[in-house]
Amino acid sequence: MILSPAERSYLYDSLSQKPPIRPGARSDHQFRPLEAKTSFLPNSNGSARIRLNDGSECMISVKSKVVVTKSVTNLIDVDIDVAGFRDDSNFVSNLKYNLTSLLITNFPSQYLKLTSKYSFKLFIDCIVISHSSYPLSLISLATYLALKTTRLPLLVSEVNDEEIEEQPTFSDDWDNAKYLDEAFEPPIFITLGVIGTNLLFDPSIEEEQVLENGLIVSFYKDNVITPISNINLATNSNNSNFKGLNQKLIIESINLCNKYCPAIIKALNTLTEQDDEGDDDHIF
Amino acid sequence: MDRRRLLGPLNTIIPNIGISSNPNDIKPDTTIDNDEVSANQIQNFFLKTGIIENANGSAYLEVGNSIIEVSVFGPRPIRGSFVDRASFSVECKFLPYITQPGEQIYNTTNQFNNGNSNTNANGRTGLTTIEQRISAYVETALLPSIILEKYPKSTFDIFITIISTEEGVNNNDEDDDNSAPNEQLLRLTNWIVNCSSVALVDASVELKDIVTSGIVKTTSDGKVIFDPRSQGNEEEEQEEGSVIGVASFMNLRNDELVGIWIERQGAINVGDTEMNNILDGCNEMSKKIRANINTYLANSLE
Amino acid sequence: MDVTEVINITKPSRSRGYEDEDDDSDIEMLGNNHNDGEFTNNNSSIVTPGELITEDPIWMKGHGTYFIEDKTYSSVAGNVSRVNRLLSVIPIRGRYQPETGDHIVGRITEVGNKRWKVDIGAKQDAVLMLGSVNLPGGILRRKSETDELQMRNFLKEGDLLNAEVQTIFNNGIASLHTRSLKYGKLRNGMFLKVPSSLIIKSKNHAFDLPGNISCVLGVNGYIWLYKTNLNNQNNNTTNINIHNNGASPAITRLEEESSWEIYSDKNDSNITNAIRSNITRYYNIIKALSFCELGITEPRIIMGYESSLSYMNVGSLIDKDSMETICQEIINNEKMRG
Repeated sequence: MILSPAERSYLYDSLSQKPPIRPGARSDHQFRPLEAKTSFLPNSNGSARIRLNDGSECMISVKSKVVVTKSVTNLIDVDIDVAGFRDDSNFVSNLKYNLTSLLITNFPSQYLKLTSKYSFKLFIDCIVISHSSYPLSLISLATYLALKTTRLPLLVSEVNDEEIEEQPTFSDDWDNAKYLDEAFEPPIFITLGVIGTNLLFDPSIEEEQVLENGLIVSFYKDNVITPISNINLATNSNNSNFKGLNQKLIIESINLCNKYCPAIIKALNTLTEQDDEGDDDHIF
Repeated sequence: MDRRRLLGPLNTIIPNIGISSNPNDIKPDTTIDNDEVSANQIQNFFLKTGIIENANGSAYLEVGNSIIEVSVFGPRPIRGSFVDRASFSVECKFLPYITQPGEQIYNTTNQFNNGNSNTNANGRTGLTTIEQRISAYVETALLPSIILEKYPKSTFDIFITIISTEEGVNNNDEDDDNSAPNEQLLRLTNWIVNCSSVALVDASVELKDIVTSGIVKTTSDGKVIFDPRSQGNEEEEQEEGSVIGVASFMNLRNDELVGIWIERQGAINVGDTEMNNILDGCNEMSKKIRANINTYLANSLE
Repeated sequence: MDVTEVINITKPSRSRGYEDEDDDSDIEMLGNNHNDGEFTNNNSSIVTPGELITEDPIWMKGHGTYFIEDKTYSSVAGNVSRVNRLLSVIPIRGRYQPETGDHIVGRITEVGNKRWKVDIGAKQDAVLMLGSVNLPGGILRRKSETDELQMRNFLKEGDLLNAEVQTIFNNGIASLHTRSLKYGKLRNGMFLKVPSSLIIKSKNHAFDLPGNISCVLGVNGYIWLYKTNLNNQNNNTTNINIHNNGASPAITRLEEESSWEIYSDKNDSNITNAIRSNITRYYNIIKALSFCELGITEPRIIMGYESSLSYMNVGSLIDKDSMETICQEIINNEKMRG
């Protein structure tokens, strides 16, 4: 997206105020409203769909497979497909790297362990149907919802199969399928925009054009964790405001995330509980 | 005279083969001390510029067992639509025989590419996921330093080639923690940024400042290690947890932070103290490297 | 700390139907009032492609129709419109279709040979000829060779301007002009886009709103909200020149027209935070109107503004519920005022 110099300088001046005056009048820690739905793909163990008001939309599917634990390097496989981008483009590749890195470092593999020899391997597929701003945060929130509502078949054979040769067997009744873990809260990514000494949560595409820098921070189990990195959010355009940031801002971003991310987790959990109760057919 | 062999004409000259072409004679550099004092010093590195003739600028860096070469092409004209500032791209490639850090996890292969993670479904080769990640970091870090407005309708291209890396940490045992390759990856990225900045200077591109980078590891007991090298006592640190961060700065412009990438191993929280330690440590290392680069550049101009 | 202060995640639901189901036809009635009674018969039945509309050969066949011998069929899905002797079908959904005289907002996409290409949200970019703009001093117009670079000093890629559609070429491309002080480069404000079908064509598309804000509602759905320019008040058609910051009064309109100021990229230095907040308030109102698919008109925007004043936190207007509430209030207000 391209802005005129007058628009840029107006937006930049507005966002540099204390407190920042954002186009939608959001506060500096306010996300845009989201619509989400889970468990609607009949052939997947878990699924989620999340949508923003401007039409940005992302869908996640989680499927599983029983594998011999020793024969695989990692138990989670992530694939991302963004409409309009090649799969080998830098944009998609980095989204995939970030999400893989986040989940691999912060996923307790005991949730997937079946027996001493076998485990479940999860295949997380993500489609970004349409996006305006940088979609990493959207993808990670949808992944949270999908993983939280993923149900895996119940194991009925022996857990300790050191001596046994047979493969694990599962209950045929899908109602017996259980969630990964009741207390499990998957990690998420938060995108922050840096402008002057202001930090903005969830920058929109117009804001991204005038930001001085962007930060990606991860959050898990009520704490900020790694990976943490910075990024030029205005992909596909020449952002002339891009510059370095002050070390103190990084510390401040961690504090802000520690303060506000629990609310995000809570909102996500509330949605999964609501989805549990009613099973209306709307996914639109 | 050996009648069984075909000898060349009378005035043949036999070339000088290297001192030892026996691979068994080449041993990795084990002069890195293991004791505390020198473990906290930055490794010695070798730097040379201007080695690639047809590039506008180039730099070659050797540190430990890592060898990195960077070529800069630009400013090159862009035909077509008018842009009022230069565009800038970075491409990082490992030579084919090198195992990329974290390869097993990130460079996935699928049914289309015959086990070669570079090839996509069309049979074309591109960058692997790890190469893309490094390219993104270098681009983000160097972008604020180039005065792009002075080069309208042009483009700069940076090509990074990794010729050799440290011996990787093998991850065949099934521990929960698959993130040990992070340390090697971040360390490599650190030196790549330093080398790329020097290549830009060699190309006479107008820069606001030279970007230098530092890498630091903090352990759960508060130790801060500069330029961490894998010492073989990985397991201890992994259980307790350590945070590794690479941060790049424009030190002469008020230590403006242009790139940051933090990963961790093991279970450790990333709080204010760890972040401050890492950022301060990286800043200090970055300044030292900058001093070294300045000396090199001053000497090379004489 | 309230969770909704940070984020609001809801389940998807159909937007509630309004008590008044005739909203869409409301829009057409308003359209009628503004076009001085040209309508004879306004049968707005919906037809689909291929449906036979009439067998009467006397009708002229307009857009959205095709004919085989005497029979006229619809070629799009939309409302049938009969105006005097012209029979056409207006599609329900579709890109903006430029018409002569439309006041639009556009963004420069290309600088070409003696012309600019402008994105107006139509099927094709419009053109703005070099001869259709006011040039400072008129110098360049006398020169026969005009550099691309010199054109860029006035309007370059990305610039926003408001203009009027002068003509439409045979291939459907609109040609614009900015030969009036009320047209030209836009500054001191913010841009937003709404579907073009929500903008009703009227005599005036630029007006002043309470709170020192002015607005340009392009017929193409591109909208510009900005700080009111004291010299050039839209609703005030007198030519009295007001002192500007204590400097000597602007001399004549001719001089104003040919000054370099009209192509400046610099915003005013005195845009206060209050004005910025008001602009975001109007931004959210218009977004709410667009979300609930109500036609966007000046009275509705002002009504929305007044309803929104009861919300302490302007940022809470972005939630779905708040948007629907505001729109319901606007409709109720309209009904009360008759």
